[in-house]
Amino acid sequence: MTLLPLIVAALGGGLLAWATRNAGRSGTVIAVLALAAVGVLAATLRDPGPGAVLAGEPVAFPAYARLFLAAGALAGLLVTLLAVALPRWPDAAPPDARRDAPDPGPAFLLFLGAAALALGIVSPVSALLPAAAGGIAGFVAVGRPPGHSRPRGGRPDEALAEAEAGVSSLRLGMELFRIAVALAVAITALELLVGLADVIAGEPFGVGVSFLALALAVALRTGAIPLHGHAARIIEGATRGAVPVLALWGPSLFALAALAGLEAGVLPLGLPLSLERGVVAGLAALTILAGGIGALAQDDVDHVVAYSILQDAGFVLLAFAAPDSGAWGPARTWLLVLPVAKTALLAWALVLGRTFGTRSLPELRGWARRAPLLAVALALVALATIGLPGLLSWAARAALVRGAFGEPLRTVVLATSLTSALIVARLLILGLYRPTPAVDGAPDERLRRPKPDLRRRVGATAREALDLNRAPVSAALVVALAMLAAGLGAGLFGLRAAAIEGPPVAPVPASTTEPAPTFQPVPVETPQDSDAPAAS
Amino acid sequence: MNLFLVAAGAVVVAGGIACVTARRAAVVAIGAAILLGATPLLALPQPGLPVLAERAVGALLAGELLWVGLRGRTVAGASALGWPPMALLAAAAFGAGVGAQQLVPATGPPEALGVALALFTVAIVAVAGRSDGIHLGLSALVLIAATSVVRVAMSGPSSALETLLVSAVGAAAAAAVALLAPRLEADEAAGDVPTGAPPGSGVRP
Repeated sequence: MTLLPLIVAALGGGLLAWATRNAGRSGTVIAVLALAAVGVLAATLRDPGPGAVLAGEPVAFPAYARLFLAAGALAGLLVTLLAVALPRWPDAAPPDARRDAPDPGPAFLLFLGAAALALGIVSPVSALLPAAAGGIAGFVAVGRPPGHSRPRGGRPDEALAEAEAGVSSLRLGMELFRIAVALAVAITALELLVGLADVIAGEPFGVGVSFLALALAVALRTGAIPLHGHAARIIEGATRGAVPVLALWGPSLFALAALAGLEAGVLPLGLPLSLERGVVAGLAALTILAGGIGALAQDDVDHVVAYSILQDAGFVLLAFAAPDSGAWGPARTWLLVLPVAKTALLAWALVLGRTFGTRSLPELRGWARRAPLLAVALALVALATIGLPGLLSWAARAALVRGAFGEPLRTVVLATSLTSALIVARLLILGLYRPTPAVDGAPDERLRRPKPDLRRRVGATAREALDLNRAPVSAALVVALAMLAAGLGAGLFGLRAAAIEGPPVAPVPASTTEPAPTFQPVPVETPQDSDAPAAS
Repeated sequence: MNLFLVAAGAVVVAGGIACVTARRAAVVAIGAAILLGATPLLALPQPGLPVLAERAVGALLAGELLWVGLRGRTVAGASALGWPPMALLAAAAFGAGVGAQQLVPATGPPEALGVALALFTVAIVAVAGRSDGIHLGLSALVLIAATSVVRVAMSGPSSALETLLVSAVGAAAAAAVALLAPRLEADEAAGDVPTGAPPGSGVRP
């Protein structure tokens, strides 16, 4: 029953906020309050202990789930506030400006409700269902395409709007299909592993195929190269409010559930699966390398951010290439740091584009001089994702690479992964150039007061103050988000200990009349590697 | 072979085929509701009334969401294949699935594995044609139903929570499909478009 208040608060708040989205600011206020409530509940509720059952399924509420939900609620809260405080587009707004509009609060709330279930259900196969639903939650923030039902005979601008709506609908439909394919493949693979495990002792082909299918489902969900094209288009082209849940939080939750399935279904068999693990490791290395090159080659901030996300998502696959449980802790660390840090990066890109009215890097020269808070936020995001020796994110990346590769490939991949630092350095160096006219004409980050007027109402004064200070307020919110990411990346908030705790074990059923055989995960040994988060 | 399970499987697959091949919003919604609502009937032993009620409510919600989202709008991306060839392909896949149960030890009935394979086939064939966003979403709905049937085929009847989760995922996917449909303009909301739509435009009342 421990999970119920949290699930009710998240799902109820999300549905209510979505239903009232067009009633002024009511939807936003409800979303903010509900996100705060979910964050507080996640931080205060305790594990019900072994034997807890929810509607016939064993459930638990481990420390990692609490941290994941609390971090997700705080990130959602900051992003929702950011949607209110964003600078308005300058007069010469780009044509795709309307995709910035919808509020991300309901999407985060519905995602958190699904995440509470996915992280709380003990059976990894059952947990995949809410994990997939968590990704679908992002659709409430996409907004309906403003299309036209008349296929012919409209004016040219109507035809263009209709074509844009068709492309947007096609991309999102493909995203939904991708989620369903990943779910179907992962569940079928795990079910086959359960069925085959007793049959194929000494015959690893079936296990290998199922293992590959599970890893490929995660690759499809996270957008690993060469399955990246659609994921990149979603990050670049979907409504801004939907991207964090669609492209970051949803895939991370799915990967967490699949990782639990791997620990429970594949690793206990003790098969080497060298070829299959090599294929997965190769995909991961290709994603890390090509993602980095892609981000360095782009001149549009959205493209840079998209490829940077894909590059760092490649580390998730490395957890599936490790031959033992040593990757469990580092992978779970990474699967929490990644969505928080990249949400901060998406927010940074959004505020940058809004503040200066362009997303083109050549036109953004000198941005850091005009917006030093945004520069601080970018540096903090880099600290969260790349880290420094001694910090948790650095140790997690190193442990994931070390678990998947032997020398000399290990050093090569580790060096390649540091292109993340080059991407950030390029953005920061561009920001220190002499400002372009577009950057010079944009609002700076100094706080301004509205002119005194004793006859003005308090609400009107507050609105005017916000309008005058949209750039610094939104930049401060991005810094707060980046600080949360940096804190997690440094191992604060108990992530170091929470990430390495083993998956909960289902209690032995008291009677034999239970209809559904439960998939029983096994406890995982604590990684012994000295550089892994477990031991550091 | 259990005739009741075969009949239930035929109903489920027919719902899936209607979902991806129909051009009328009402048929799509009814097909989706049948697809999601009838899948628990494939389990042996048959689930209890509360579980069936859970799935029925979830299926009705999914159908309602699709109906609200798609009515009066274009459902033009339906499968390149019509329902007769799709049904034949599904029947072949059903036979293969029932045979495959001999290779994969499982605790569920072989008919369920046949239905799962038939639904996978329907979804894959449907997206191989001229897809648009809505159609891809409807195919995703068929895949989700197929996944729940795989669970039934391999592990037997689901728990109450899992049944609820499948209903929730189905309803969420249906809501997402409804959100993919282009927004009605004010004049269309007044009802003048469906009757005035040019022939072959795919718009249906």
